[in-house]
Amino acid sequence: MPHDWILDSATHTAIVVTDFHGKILVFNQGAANLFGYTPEEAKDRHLPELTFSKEDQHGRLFQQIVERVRSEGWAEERLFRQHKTGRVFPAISTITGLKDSAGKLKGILEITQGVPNLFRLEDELKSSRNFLENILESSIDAVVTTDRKGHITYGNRALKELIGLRGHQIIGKHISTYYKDGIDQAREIMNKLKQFGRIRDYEFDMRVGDRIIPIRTSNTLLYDDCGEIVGTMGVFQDNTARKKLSDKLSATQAELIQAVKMRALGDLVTGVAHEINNPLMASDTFLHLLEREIESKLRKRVVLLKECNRRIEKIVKKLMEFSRHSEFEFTAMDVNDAVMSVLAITRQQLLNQGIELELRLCENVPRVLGDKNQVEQVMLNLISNARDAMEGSSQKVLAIQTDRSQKGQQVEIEVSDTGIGMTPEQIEQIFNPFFTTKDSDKGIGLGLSISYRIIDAHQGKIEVKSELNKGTTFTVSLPVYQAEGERDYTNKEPEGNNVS
Amino acid sequence: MSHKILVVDDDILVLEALEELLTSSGYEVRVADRGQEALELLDKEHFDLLLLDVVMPKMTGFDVCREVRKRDDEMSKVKIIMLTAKTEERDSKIQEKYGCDLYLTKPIDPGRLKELIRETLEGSKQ
Repeated sequence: MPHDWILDSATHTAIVVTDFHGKILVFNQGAANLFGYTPEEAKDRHLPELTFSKEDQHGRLFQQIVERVRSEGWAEERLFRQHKTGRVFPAISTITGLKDSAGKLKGILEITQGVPNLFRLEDELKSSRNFLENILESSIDAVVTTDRKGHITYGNRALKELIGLRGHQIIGKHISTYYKDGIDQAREIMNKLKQFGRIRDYEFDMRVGDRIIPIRTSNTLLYDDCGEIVGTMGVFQDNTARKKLSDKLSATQAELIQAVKMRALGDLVTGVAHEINNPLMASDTFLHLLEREIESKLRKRVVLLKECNRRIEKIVKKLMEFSRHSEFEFTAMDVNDAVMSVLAITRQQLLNQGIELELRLCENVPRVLGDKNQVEQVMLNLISNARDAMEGSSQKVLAIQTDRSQKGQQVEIEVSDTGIGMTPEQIEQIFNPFFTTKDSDKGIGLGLSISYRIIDAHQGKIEVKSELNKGTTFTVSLPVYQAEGERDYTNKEPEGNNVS
Repeated sequence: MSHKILVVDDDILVLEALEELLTSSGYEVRVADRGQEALELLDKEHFDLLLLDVVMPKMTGFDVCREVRKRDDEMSKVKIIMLTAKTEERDSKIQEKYGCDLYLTKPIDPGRLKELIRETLEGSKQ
């Protein structure tokens, strides 16, 4: 063959020419290096027998390759080949037809390169891909990727679980299908992503069927090698539990702020009350002297002035009550008794005003640790408020209920009326001192602040629910007296129902 | 001879009012607006009754009361009525603790105050 020196210069590429039966016609130096035979040894030998791995040496595979070259003009093969020593190695071959000057096929030309690491690399790639996929699949948080338009390109097991569609085809669906606010939400997220490149701890709601799931998500944009955006990747966390906790925390915080506020106000009020008492005392004394000295025509005015002083005194007394810090005398007490003794003094008044009383007292309610007088004071405040709230109502029902809380750690006293109710703004201020919805002759707005202070000192809670023109419900919760575990309630006399 | 009363209060208005009230009832009245001043007056003059405000600067009514009871002359047994604008501690305890005869809270009806003063002074005669 001419140009043998050219072929032999390709020392790292095996170039072999055979006829259609596989008889070797050309075997260059590269082939000698790759397969271990000298060109002389290889000449006229059968290519498959010499260089194919054992199972392919009979020639069927070679014939298939020849057929493909005949029909398609070329073939590419990744095969295990065999060295003279018997060592088997991976190689990539390109096989083309060899034509004479008339264009007639005369044989084949195989160009082969050994790629000892190829299959290992492929295996490694495969296992590392499996490894990554395993991580994604075993992630507790849902992982989802989308293309640029928001169509889902991947979703891990956690996502499928979150969405609750086992085996359901989510690939290709638009991500906004699962957003409560739909496409607007998707757009908002995408806009943020474009602005910041990523989003951290963003909260929104997912909709899956009828369920709304609060989600906390972190998202990033996905880029290709050229830096073009190809899609997004998001990690979704079911935020239900966290949200519950955070709501609870906010509520506790609000309670704490309220308690601190009440205490600060209490301190202020004590100071003010003390300051007022001195001039009030002086004023009383001067009026007392004046009353005796002046003519009877003017005496009436002095009496009125004294009445003013009595009103001031009353306010100050209420203020002192409100700011009282440590005068409680705690004993184990029955809240039903407190309710009944307050009703003993108010029942007639309620009756006179046409108020129907609904009593549902839990017969074996556990005792609480409380100051009986103070708890009665709270009951009296709540009942008076209920009475005043129903003054203009057509239906007047005062319902008082006592019960053990669901978890059993608290005793709850509920006082409901069918009165005028309150607006949310009013409810917000209801425990503030001097806030009142009543006319000035009915109260100065301290009853509920005092009640709040009292219940707070009992480590209890007082809560209000109200609807305008429908009514208001106050719920007082007091902790159960701790030594109350084994008490026998069976001897307790049942209280009457629907007393009116 | 009329009884002599020392009124002690840092509030000048209260002081004037009580002075007028008690003078008009026939008592001989002296006033002091500081605890220390009251103790000095007790050194010089005889009194039948002390009307003592509790909250005063530097020396409180309680301090004055304690000092008076510690004296080794007959003034240690002077009748003491304490008057306070504070209502935090319970009176029974305070009377016991400081050895005063009465513990009253402001404001008190002037008629009632006169009555109580009279009763306390009468008690001293028995």
